[in-house]
Amino acid sequence: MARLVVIDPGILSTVQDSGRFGLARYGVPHSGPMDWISFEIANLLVGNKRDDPAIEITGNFEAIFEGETSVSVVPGRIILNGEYLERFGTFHVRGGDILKVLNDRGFRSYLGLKELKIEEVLSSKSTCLPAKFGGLNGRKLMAGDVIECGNADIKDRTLECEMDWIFGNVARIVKGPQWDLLKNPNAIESEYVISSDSNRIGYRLIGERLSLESYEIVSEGMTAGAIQVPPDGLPIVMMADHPMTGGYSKIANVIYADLPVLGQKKPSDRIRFEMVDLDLARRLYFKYKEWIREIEFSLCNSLKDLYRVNVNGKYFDVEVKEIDDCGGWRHKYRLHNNG
Amino acid sequence: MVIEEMGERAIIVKFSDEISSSVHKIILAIDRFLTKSKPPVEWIPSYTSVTIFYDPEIISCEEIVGIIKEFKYEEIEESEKEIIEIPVVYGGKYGPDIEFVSDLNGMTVDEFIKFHSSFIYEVWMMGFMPGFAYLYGYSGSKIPRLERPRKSVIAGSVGMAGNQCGIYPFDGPGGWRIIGKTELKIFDIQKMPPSLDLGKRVRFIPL
Repeated sequence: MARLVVIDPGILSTVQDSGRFGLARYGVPHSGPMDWISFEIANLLVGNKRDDPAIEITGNFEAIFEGETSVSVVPGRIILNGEYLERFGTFHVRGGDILKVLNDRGFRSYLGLKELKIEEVLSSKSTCLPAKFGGLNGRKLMAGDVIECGNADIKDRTLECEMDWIFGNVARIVKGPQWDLLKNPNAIESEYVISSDSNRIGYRLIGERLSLESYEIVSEGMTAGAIQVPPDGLPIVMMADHPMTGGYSKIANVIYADLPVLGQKKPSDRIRFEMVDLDLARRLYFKYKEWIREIEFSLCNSLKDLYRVNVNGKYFDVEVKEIDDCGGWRHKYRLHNNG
Repeated sequence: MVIEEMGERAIIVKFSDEISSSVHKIILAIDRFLTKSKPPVEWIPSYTSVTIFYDPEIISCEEIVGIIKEFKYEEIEESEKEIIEIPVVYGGKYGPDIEFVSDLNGMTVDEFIKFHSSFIYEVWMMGFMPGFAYLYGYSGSKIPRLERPRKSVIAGSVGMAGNQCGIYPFDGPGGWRIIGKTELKIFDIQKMPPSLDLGKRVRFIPL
């Protein structure tokens, strides 16, 4: 058993697993990570399953460890006892070590820890901030909070992971159910600024006002990424803790593959939407999922020195024996964000 | 029936653009149909539509549409709908808007309490916050929302807006007119499924 004692929780740190599913009909939000790609990679780096709980850190973060374990931070930077560590790594920490997380490029990072000891509420460990349950007592982390986790003994390792597009300012969208109500459709592809009144529930955008034939509809179910337009014409993008039903027109939907792009945006950042079709949205979803599975496979097997090799279309598991110590290992993963 | 896609992971199956008891009956029936046919999806029944969430790696949109096309309307008997009794303290400090709502109906507060508790309400949708049920059944004057929502409404508060009635399961902001409060825990995170669900009926018992 290891313990993490929070010194500085930053702007907002919460425990999130992949989300709380199956209770949407009762109005229970899905919650879960704002950037599912970084979240899954952080988990994989410490030998967790992709959907295990991790700590979502907004802004910067500082904690001290009691006991030994392994940690990962994606996509931010770890400063361990004052030393900057490589990005996308798994690192061993000992009792007394001080870990700082620096969100130097995006706005949110995931701190991966083995077996976070968090009680399950309604079949998930995610914090539901709007209704104050789940995670750590239904609230954000505060200085002095102690979180227990398991010990992990993973050789320090680094994933050469290129996902710079996550920090770009383009999020792709598809047409939403009330798209036809929009009278100035070109406006949606103009540049918007993230309002300071944005949070895990939704991102309010400031920019060209959207003019609709009708703003209010009969309330219906909503999904993350849905772009609602209230009567003031300024769009609101539904994020992880969004209410499950809503009564404003939804003119478009940010594609699932690009939700992390928004999740990494902070107030006053700029975002531009680019219209694509559903077919591309699905292809990207499959592609990103496959990319993460490849990372998972490689990380699992690096422990066994097993590699999967494709020869003329057939897959082989190949065991690799070390003949010269080259100081750990590296894998290269590049994800290009086009279909 | 109109089927619309909402992103690559959700579809909305819509039966009407207007809220009515006849559409609600169709929603109840399709909700039961989905419960029986158990597709690997999650869904939210609402006033006039059902929103279905799916993972395209598990099931395709076409497959879901195929399942929906097999739906045939079968009416659900009123007697099948459980009635839940909710004790309410009307008015006083827990019902700051009761005079307003009574005046709107041209009644004294006592008359209004009698009137409000004479209806049998039915859950037509859930949403807004966990466990919040939109209850239909009231047929008095339409009630306008507060111009400025309250920053904090306490859990258990009974509110009204339009011809809907609802009970706040958690403390939180709210723009509905508050007429009373129940001690009953409306949404208990230790107890699933919650007592209120689509098609359940409610009777308010004045204390």
